[in-house]
Amino acid sequence: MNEKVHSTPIFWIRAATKGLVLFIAINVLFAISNPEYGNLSLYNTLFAGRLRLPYSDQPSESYNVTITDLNAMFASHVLAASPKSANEYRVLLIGDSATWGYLLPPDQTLAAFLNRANLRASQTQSMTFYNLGYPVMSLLKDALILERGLDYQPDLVLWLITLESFPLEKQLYSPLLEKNPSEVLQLIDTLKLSETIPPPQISPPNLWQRSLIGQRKPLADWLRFQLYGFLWTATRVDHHIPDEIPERQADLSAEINFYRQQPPKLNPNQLAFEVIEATIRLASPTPVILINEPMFISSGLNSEIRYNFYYPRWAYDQYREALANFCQAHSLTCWDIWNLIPPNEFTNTAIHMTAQGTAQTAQWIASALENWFQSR
Amino acid sequence: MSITQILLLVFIAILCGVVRHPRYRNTLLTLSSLLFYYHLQPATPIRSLDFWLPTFAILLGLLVWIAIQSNPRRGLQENFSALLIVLLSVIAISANRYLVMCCLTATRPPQLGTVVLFLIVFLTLSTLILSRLALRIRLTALILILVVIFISLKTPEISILMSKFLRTLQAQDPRFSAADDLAWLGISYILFRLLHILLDIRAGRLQGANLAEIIPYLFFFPTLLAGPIARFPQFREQLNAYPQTQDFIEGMRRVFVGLFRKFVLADSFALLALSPQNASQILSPTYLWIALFAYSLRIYFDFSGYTDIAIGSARLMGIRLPENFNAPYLKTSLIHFWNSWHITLADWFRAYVFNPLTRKLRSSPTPEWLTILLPQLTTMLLIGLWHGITSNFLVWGAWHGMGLFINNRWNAWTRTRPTKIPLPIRNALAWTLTFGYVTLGWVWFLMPTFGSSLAVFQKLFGYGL
Repeated sequence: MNEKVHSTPIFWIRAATKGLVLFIAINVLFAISNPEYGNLSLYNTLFAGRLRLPYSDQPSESYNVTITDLNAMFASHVLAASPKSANEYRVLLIGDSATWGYLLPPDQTLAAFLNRANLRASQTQSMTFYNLGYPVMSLLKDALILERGLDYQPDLVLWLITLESFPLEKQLYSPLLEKNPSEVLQLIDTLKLSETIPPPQISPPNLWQRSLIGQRKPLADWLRFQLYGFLWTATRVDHHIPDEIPERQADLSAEINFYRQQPPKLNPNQLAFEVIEATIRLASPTPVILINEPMFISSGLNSEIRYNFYYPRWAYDQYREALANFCQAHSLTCWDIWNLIPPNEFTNTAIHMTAQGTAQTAQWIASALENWFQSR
Repeated sequence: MSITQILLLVFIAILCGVVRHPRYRNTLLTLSSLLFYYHLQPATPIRSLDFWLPTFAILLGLLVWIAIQSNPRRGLQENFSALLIVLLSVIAISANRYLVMCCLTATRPPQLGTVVLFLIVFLTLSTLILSRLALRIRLTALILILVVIFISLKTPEISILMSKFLRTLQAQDPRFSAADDLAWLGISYILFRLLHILLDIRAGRLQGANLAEIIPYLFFFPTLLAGPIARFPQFREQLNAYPQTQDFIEGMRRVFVGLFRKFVLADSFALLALSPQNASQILSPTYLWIALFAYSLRIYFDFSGYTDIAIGSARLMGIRLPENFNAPYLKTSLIHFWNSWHITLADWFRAYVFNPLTRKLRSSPTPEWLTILLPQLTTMLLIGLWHGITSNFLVWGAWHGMGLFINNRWNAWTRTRPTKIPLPIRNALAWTLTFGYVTLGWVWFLMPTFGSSLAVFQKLFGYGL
């Protein structure tokens, strides 16, 4: 075609029309096929697998993006790098931001310290710990992640919990759960929790929402996340740790209520014990060990009323009692290490620990695991 | 600029292209350029400065226009309507404080009374002072003033002092002063356009200019952010050149190419690119090299993308802006690279620094090598300092100045020595050397200090890990 034809308006109108038709066709095709593009990942192939699930407050400084596509999240994780070998004893750690390692580099998280302990499950199997913590406090979120994690054939699950993850009203409150409504519905159904946690009312995404245009934000996040794989591999940085970390609150309010619960009696029915029970059932025959995670115990203002920012003393004491009863009733292995770590080893919140505090927790868990293996 | 702002820019450009009446078109062009300038100026920590900075730039434009009039008072009378449009635009934007019109300025403009009083005092005083000076003195004085402003803004230490002064003036804490408090949108380009007018008038290459031509030239909205620096005579000639269908098609094509380059290519490379932050974090030389090449591509696609959008939008109005890039990374010598990278800036320096200096040296008994080295080095040092008066930009300029000199001497040396190396191999080697040299030079450009740049160089070659 010569240049003269290119310069005619008719040519460009035709070209624009064809382009428009093609664009609409691609969008419709994308919407109809609804591809699970999250499974496509540059991690574990071109780039190193990530040591923890993607989460970031400052993407440009942490080379990380908060994405909510579970497929993409798991495809980026080192857990998906290769199938489990015969001499690997695979341990998954699930929990909140303390397990994820908020304000800690990826090589100083609980899972990282446990891996450094070089624990052995038997003479032929060495234990490998995988960090599947995620910075949201909700047991249902832990269940959602564990459900995916079970695809990777774990031999043991360490579930780090704290009372803040228990209130029923908090279970669905997380972007990760809100952005995965069908998975959450399915999980609630599988775990038979619909009476405890009212399933969210959702309507399936329409054609427009499933099109390329409708999916532009998750697609852009997914693409950004893939590209950040390069700087993650090059720097091993996945989390921005500021030079100055604000200290956790030591002087506390005199508030005595815990969510909607008032003293003197904590109602266990308002706590999501059923989620734990159902999730452990789901994981079976993989054993699950519950660990009541360490927390900051304040000695500041109103510390006679509250342990810390999160918990009034009466509520937390009764929670521990309820947890012990629950574990006993269901013959579960539960380790309560709530007061293991000294107050100065907590950073910006009552559950985020320093590397030293995390190492100390890992040391305790490693020793408890050795005893647990011996007692089996 | 966000995609929404670019779409708005394109829409206004089409609107300007549609208006056929010269006077209305010019008014629309002036108004939209001024409004865009205020709109794009980012907020600064100093109160109301996002209003005052564009206002000062406009006043500088007015000052230069008054100065180049053979009779400033008569000039004011003859251009009264254009002046009125400019002043009313500034006042209308200031009145936005009361009307609460959305999004015109980043923060609330200052009191209307203050703005009006300032405009009156400024214009009256400057007209009185300038009309008492001879034309040549006026021009020289203004050139000096503009150079001082440019140096002050580009020197971090002076910028901090100015920020302290402005913060004190606004009853804000001067302890928090920082050099980027004075983030003045597009001022490097505006000052260079002003200097171009003053220098050409002084040299007799340019004969006067109307305010209705100067304001759109200085603040032409597609070029506010990243140029190109058009020449005034060429721009003026096209002010009434209306777009044809072909202009519209080509303009839209360039805008789309620019959007793709900026928002797809540049923004993707930005996620891989070397930065002062990740330079110390990257663990191996291989990754550092990849990140450096990613930076090289990022800066090109970012800058050329914006240029495409500017050239395309201007074309929608029938205005052909000069090209700023011509596939610079495909060139096989540094000399060719600098003929294809930021062409309009290089041309500016060629016209006002390189050529006069070369002529001066050639007319004096200077050794040939010095006649080549001095103008090249001086020009490149100044181009470096145009980006900011810091040691790193100076070194970046010297890096290219020396590179150009070596390139020149190499060409002279090889011209008389035939080689048996086949042309494709020679070209491949030359391209690798050129691209590698330019890319390594970016280390000086992107790192904040000399020490941190040296650390990157050490790391690139496997030292200091």
